Amino acid sequence: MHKFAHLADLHLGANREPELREWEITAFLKAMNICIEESVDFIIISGDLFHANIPDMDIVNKAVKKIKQILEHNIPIYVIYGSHDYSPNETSIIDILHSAGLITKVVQAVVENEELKLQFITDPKTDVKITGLSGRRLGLEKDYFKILDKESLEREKGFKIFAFHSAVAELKPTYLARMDSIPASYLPKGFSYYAGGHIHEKLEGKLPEFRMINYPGPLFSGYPRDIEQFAKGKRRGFFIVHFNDEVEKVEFKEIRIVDPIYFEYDVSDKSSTQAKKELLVKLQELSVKDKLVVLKIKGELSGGTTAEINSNELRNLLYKKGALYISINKHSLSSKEIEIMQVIGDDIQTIENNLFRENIGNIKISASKLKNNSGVKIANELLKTLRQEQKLNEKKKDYEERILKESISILDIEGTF
Amino acid sequence: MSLEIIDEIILSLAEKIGNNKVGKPYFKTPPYQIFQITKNDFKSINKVDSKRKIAFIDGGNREILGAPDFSIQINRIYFNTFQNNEKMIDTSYPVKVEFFSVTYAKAQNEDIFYHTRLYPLTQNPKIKLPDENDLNFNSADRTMSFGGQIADISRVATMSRVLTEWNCAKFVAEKILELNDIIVMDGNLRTWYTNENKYANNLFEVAKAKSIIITGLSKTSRLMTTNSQSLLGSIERYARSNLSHQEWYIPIAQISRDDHNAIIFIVKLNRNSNHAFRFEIMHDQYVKLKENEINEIFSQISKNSRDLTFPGYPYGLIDADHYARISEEEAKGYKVMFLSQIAKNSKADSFASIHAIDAHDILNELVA
Amino acid sequence: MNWWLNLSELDIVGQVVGGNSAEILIREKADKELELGDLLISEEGNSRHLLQVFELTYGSQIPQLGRELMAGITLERAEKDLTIFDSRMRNYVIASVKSVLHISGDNVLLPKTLPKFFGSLRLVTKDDLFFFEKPDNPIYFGKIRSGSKVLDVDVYLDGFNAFSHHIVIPATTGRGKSNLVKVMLWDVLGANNFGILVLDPHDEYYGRHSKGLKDHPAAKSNLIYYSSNPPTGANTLVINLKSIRHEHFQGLVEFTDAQEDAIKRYHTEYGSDWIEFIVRGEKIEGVKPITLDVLRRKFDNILGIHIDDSGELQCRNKIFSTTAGSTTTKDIADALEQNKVVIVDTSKLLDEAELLIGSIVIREIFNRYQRYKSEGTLKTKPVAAIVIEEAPRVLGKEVIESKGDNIYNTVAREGRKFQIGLIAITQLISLIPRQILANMNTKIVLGNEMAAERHAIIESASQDLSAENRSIASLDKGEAIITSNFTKFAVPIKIPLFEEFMAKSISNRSKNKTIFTG
Repeated sequence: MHKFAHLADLHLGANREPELREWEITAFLKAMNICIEESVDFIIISGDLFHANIPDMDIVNKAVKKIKQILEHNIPIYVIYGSHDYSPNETSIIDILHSAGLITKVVQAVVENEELKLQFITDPKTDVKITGLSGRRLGLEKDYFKILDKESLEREKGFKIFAFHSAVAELKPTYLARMDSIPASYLPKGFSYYAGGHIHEKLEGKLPEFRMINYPGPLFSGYPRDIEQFAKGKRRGFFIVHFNDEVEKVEFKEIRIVDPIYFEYDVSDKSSTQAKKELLVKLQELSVKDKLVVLKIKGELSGGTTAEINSNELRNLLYKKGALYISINKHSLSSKEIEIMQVIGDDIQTIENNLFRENIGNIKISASKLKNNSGVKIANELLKTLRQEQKLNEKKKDYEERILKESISILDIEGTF
Repeated sequence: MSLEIIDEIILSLAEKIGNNKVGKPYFKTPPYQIFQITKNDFKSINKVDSKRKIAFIDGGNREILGAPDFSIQINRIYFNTFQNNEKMIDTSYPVKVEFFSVTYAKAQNEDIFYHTRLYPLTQNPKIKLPDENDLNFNSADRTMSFGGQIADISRVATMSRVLTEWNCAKFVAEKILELNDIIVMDGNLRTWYTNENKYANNLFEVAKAKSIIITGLSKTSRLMTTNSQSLLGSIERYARSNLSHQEWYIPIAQISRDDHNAIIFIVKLNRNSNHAFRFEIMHDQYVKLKENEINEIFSQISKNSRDLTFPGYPYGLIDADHYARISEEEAKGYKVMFLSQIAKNSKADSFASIHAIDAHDILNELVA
Repeated sequence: MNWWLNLSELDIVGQVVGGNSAEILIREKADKELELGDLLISEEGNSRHLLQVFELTYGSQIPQLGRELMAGITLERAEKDLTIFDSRMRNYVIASVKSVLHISGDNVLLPKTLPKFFGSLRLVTKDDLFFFEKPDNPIYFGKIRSGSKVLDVDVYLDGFNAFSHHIVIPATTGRGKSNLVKVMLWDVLGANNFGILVLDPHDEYYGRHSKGLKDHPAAKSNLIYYSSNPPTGANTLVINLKSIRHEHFQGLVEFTDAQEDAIKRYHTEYGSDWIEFIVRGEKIEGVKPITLDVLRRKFDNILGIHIDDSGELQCRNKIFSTTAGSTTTKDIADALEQNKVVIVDTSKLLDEAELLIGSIVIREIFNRYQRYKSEGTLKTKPVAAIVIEEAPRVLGKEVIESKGDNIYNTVAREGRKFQIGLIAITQLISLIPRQILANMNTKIVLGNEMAAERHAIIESASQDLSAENRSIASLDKGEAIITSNFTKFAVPIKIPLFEEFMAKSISNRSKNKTIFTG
């Protein structure tokens, strides 16, 4: 019996806060240790190993040390780009690690007569054939799927794995309904295992003609939403797949670095004073020691302002009680007294997305790619890029150039500058 | 009623009329030269190609308003022309003339005279109307009176139409037809009425000058044979029994007189026809025609007699009758107009005699 | 009065000879061969009457008995020598026409006068129909038809009005209704103005094996196809059982009181997993085993879901799942809101399953649009229209009486308020109650040989089609009459053959060369 580990969306370097950063790398190290303990034959990472194509070197350093250890145990790591660590001109950290022989990029493709032909790479230990398509910004990998030569892939015999970094439309969870996705029909049929990435949730999907399309989800968190989901009870971890000629068993290895607690409070029909008082009482009753706390305050105050429910005050209280990290979500909190723009959404990402969607029609644009859905996508990506902070040891000039370059790439106006 | 009486009548009549012998044509008034009717005298109509055009002329009239002392009539005379059996359409000339005729009685020298005034519906019609002076008649005119009574005013009123038919034929001969073409009048070529001869001769002169053949075909005929049979019936029976020809003609008499200048034929123009008809050709023209020309004339008319509605009768005359006829409805329409105008007229009282209608009409109304 | 025709006017096809406002009689000019449905023009000085032929009768100057005798002679005696002289004058055709419009300058009104007595008529030309303009949100149907002749005048309806006020397409098999729907949707695809959901029980619209909507240049961005065995690029039709609520069955599947009660209990106990637990046979208090068994069988019959020997929940038609399809309903509703055309291939499903899927999606969009209306944002949303075949399955009188209201007839009755419309296709329009038909303001009438159906069409039409009975019976494939509140008269059209129609709008676009990176 053979085994391989399937991970995705590790997003190393995603978090800025020290506690979160620490948990992030700890989860990665723990997962790699399990792989060693389990003596897996190889590891597949279906994209977004890192949160950026040029991440913090500190993170890279820690990751590389562990990867070296994995290699010393003769466990190859097969990788595809994700939408975050992708690079069109092979200047991503992934390329560096591949060149250094630490990881193996599985995507080997060439376009012939407008068809994308993929080559398999064969794992020497198990003879497993692996191929796949990387993720790209803005879901552009869809264009490659459209021209994929599926037939030649389907004809190949043996145990085959298809690694990809896209949401499959038929398998999206409800709360990710608006996520960009590809239909399952884009995938080549008849593979023994489809190693998916990009959906930040553990999913084991089955469709007619696709026996197993799995998403392991992040090990910890790639986005603030992930932390909330984790706190609500979503399991984090990765898959270990046992197989011979076919998959025999799929085991989910849970990674729990910290215990979370989720608390939701509805202020509807209460004044700010009333709400704050009640909330403080309730929080006092919580057992938050050594926990990651996610506090969601929602509803419409009948009086007073939302600012009167002071986040710092709440944070201080919880820290005093021994909480390790506190995330406070007030995005769904509003007040009758102050007219604020009603934007529907539970997290920043959704709110921003909805804002763009609602307002894109108000802007007069001639370029068609800047309109409608594609416009919203580009706006989201641009905002993400422009939000990036200067990295440690990165010169200001280099930082500006990097941001500019990425922005130009997002807008697809390379030739103009 | 007893069926036995009916059977008796039938038997008695059959003996009288069922004489198979054809006999000779019987004309009461000489000097008709009568021909024998033998098998050899029947000529088969052989169809030949011909460029001769044929014009058919017919007229109609109907009383609109009448009383013993006046008669207002609507008259219509119409003609058509056929070439290669196609009706010719040419809008450069009119094909009809319509007019009101008003015949009224006038006492003169202790006699009643009838005078007629004519009112064409179009100004200056190309087909000339007769001279009104030719339409003045003594009520005792023997060509119009019947059984010793004075001539009926409505009968006198028909003269306008009769004379206009001759004028129409003359117009056709002058303006439309050419050498060797044919005119077919509805009825025979005999002139019966006072002044009618003048108009017929006007036509004949023009026709002779242009070599246009004048003919006439009668829908009905009361000619008898010397053995008191219907002439047409006898000849038809004889032909059926003795001939192989299906379409034939046979001359039966001829005359050359002021009031009748014609050779008279009996003719069967189509093999599907159940009827033979009396047919006349102007005698002065006939005598100059060769055998093949006579056949050609009959051939042309026979070719025109193939209409399914009435095989054996020239379609030209069917058509002419259709368009010349004045229907009762049409006359009623005019009547309403006249009565309406009379009612508005200050001299309405003058028309009191409209109410003096024949008792027959009253009885007819009661029965209807 | 000149009673003969001015025969130098070659355009003249007939002359008014009598009749009344319901039936004007025209004598047809010889050799002009007027057709049922021909559009004619009577010039009246500065104005015109537009008339339409609805009946053709033989006329003759020869009485009937005479004609019968004539026929007897030619038939029985085989007589070739006899003929009919002047046949064009004596035998002719009388066309019964009705006045449909009175055009005076730019004003186009319903007629209130008769055309000139003894006036000559000509065939309609393109210029006469200047008032056929392309509206802002056009749906294309075809070209104006006069008899069997096609004029170069395009016929559009304003989509906003037509869709939201519902469209009915009554037609028997083989009259071209699929072709019509494809032509309609082709332009809609390109314009990207409306959201159209097509429930396709015969898988004929996408064009999997032949030309179809997939061949539209904008199909990649504006067309979405769901099927249980999708071709590359299309979506798998899979619906998560959690998406199904009890109300989705309303009016489609009958449950007894005991079954309704059981369903409520399972919902209370298991929430959105209620169906799964019923199918698994999990007993709960208050539900008799026999009721549970019946429900399990029912769901097996309708949805095809059952438990296999290894205890796994399976679906025979592969449509319903516990692991996949969580967002299918939302995805489809989102697509409709984004002005896309969504085709759902239901060819492998039984009626109930097909209607259920439609019910799930339509409820989603209906609920959304109700919310938008209450929020005041409905006007910013596109009109959504649903193409449903064999409409009496959900709109039929018997169905509604026996099973109660369903979402389809709710849309038919109230959809207009919420910018949601039906495009209902049916062979048996007589089965749809009048109250529903009265709300469906556009009917595209294709040929129908069934008298009862024609009667139902005529009764419910937006214009007076009482004289069109024969015309409707004689409509050939591809010919139709549009009767609508949004047309000035019942418009005869010729629908183009889809394959020819689409070929005109596909140009040879040069593809950009794809460069691969990654």
